[in-house]
Amino acid sequence: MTWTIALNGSRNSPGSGTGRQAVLIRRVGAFVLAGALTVGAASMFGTVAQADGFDWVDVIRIFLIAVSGFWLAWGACTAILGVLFDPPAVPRNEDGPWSKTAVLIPVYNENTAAVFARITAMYRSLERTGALHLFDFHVLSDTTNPAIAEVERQAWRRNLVRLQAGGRLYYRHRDKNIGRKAGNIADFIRTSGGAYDFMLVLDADSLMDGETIVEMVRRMEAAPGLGLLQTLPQMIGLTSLFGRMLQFSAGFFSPVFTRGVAALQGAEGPFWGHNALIRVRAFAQSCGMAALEGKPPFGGHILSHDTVEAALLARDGWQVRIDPDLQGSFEEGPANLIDYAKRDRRWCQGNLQHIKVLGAPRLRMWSRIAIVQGVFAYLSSPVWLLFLVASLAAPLFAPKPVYFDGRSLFPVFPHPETTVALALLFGVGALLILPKAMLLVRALLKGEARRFGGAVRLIASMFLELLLTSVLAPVHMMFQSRSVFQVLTGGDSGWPAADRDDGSLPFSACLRATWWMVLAGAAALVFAFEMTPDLFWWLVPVSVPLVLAPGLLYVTALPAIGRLSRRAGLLLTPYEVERVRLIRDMRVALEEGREAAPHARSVAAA
Amino acid sequence: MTDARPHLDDIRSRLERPDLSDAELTACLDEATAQLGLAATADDLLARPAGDAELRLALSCMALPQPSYPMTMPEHDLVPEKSGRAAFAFRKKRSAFLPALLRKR
Repeated sequence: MTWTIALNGSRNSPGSGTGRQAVLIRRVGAFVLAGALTVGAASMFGTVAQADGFDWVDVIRIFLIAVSGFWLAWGACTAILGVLFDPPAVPRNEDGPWSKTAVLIPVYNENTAAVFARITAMYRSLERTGALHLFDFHVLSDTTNPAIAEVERQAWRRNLVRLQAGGRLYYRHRDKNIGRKAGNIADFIRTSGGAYDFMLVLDADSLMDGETIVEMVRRMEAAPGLGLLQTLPQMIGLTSLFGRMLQFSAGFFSPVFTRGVAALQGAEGPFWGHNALIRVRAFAQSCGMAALEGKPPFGGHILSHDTVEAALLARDGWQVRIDPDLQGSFEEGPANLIDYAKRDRRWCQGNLQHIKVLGAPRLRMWSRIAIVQGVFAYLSSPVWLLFLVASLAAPLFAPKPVYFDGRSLFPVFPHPETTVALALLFGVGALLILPKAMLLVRALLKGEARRFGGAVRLIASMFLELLLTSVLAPVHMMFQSRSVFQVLTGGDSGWPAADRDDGSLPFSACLRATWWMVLAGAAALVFAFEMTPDLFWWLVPVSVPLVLAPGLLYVTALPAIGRLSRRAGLLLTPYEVERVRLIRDMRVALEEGREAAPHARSVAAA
Repeated sequence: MTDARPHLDDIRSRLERPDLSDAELTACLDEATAQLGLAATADDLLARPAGDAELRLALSCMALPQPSYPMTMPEHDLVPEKSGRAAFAFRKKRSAFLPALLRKR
């Protein structure tokens, strides 16, 4: 039986008229504020730049700082909106749930024991809600290694018996992973989509609480025009210093930042590819994507499909929404900076590919803006890098000072605009720190600090996070700039193997990944010292972390340092402070699974 | 021997899987009995009353194929709108707009 879908003209319009107006006012307000801050920053920088005379390099620098400044100001505005904005109550079906939902877990050469441990925990959690009969789990395998695929099949059969999940837990393996994850989901819809009202799309490392899943279904049942409901996944399970810093940032800052995103979303909210509930009919109708013309990196199958899918749903009148109040949504993350950069490299290619989709017909304006934001999330790094290079080079191109311009008998000396330069520096610093400081004050006033280990530990954690992110920012900028360069030139220099189970890195791997940064940082320092000594101290906060990059990568990946920070009560998250049954169940299931099945990596190695 | 069909219909109904054929169900049940290490075959189990513990256990552990309820998912073209198309077309044909001397030969 084939279910053919027709456009439904009688769908509820997403959001009331008042709601749409409020969103419009917030959007315009954020744009105006970000624009005003950008103009202010660019004009201050213009004053500083023309101190030694004005030339074409200064024009480039002002343009670059304006672009970067807007990006920075936009982020700050979103965060401030998150502090000020209280999301309105959303409707839910009090009688439900009654809709049939497929829980989709796409896998690709993953750690099988960990995947099935998460499934076990979610299955048990849904069982406790009494609504398990409405949910089917589907492991959609795109695994290319036959040995790992066999381990997956065995784990499926073992879990069928252990959970007695016949008719509730399915496994399907595709021989060819056409279209990657988007193709995997599309294949499920074309095979089994008609059996379900909703699908909960997860990643292999996703973990969601049964209560949260049921609540999402209730909310979607109450809003017939809602096509996609996104949650904010919290990071768990990381032990290294870098991983714990990510966890803390996600746990402390992301919920408020997400409220800012929600304040601006209207009916065109984000989709992050996982931990989201989707109306199957809407997705099937709107989200089939043809491959783009041309060869990769810009042609071929769309890699970062989620942003485009959100835009396509909104294009057809479906509401895409993120509900920041939904808890119990988790994921794991990269334990070290190399893994983080590897993941970022994939996302970079996907987001830059969106340039080709920007002109797609009928997309909503806000969807196009969201796509531009995604592109700029990666272009901002090379823009900063170009600005630094241009600033280093600027004194070489500056015109010679004119001491006697003929209008005065006395010599006119160039006026170094140090005060304005410092004001600009503090302004940029404030844009970076102010939203975080506001969050801290809010947490202290609302008594949320105890979820992060108490007021003192929270303040210390925030300072540690600020220090770590500031020191690692130049390294991150270099990795991202290289990614953009590689995507644009179609190259990839590869990555050193860094797949230890605990996420730690050998120093040699750190050195192989960052030797070029060490050279670049040292060269910049020498150049500044010899050629533009006025800029030497301004350059130190960027260049010194680059010179120390291998050591920074090594130390931040050490689980021992991570454990030490935990013992000191630093970078704690609510999921470490409070005991979460779902996470505990997952860990128990993982131990059992490891005993029963070989590790996927060892199978792959064999 | 008891006719297995009423049992199979009941199983299909309980599983909400009307798409499964008798042969598929029996094969899955056979596989489950083997996985569980039961001495009985699928036919033996289906001959027993519906409340039989071994039958219920085997049913609860069956490895079923995915539901077969296909749904159409049309692929949408994401090429740019008219103005964009025109720009792309111009880019492809720009040599035609160049003076003859500058064209590639």
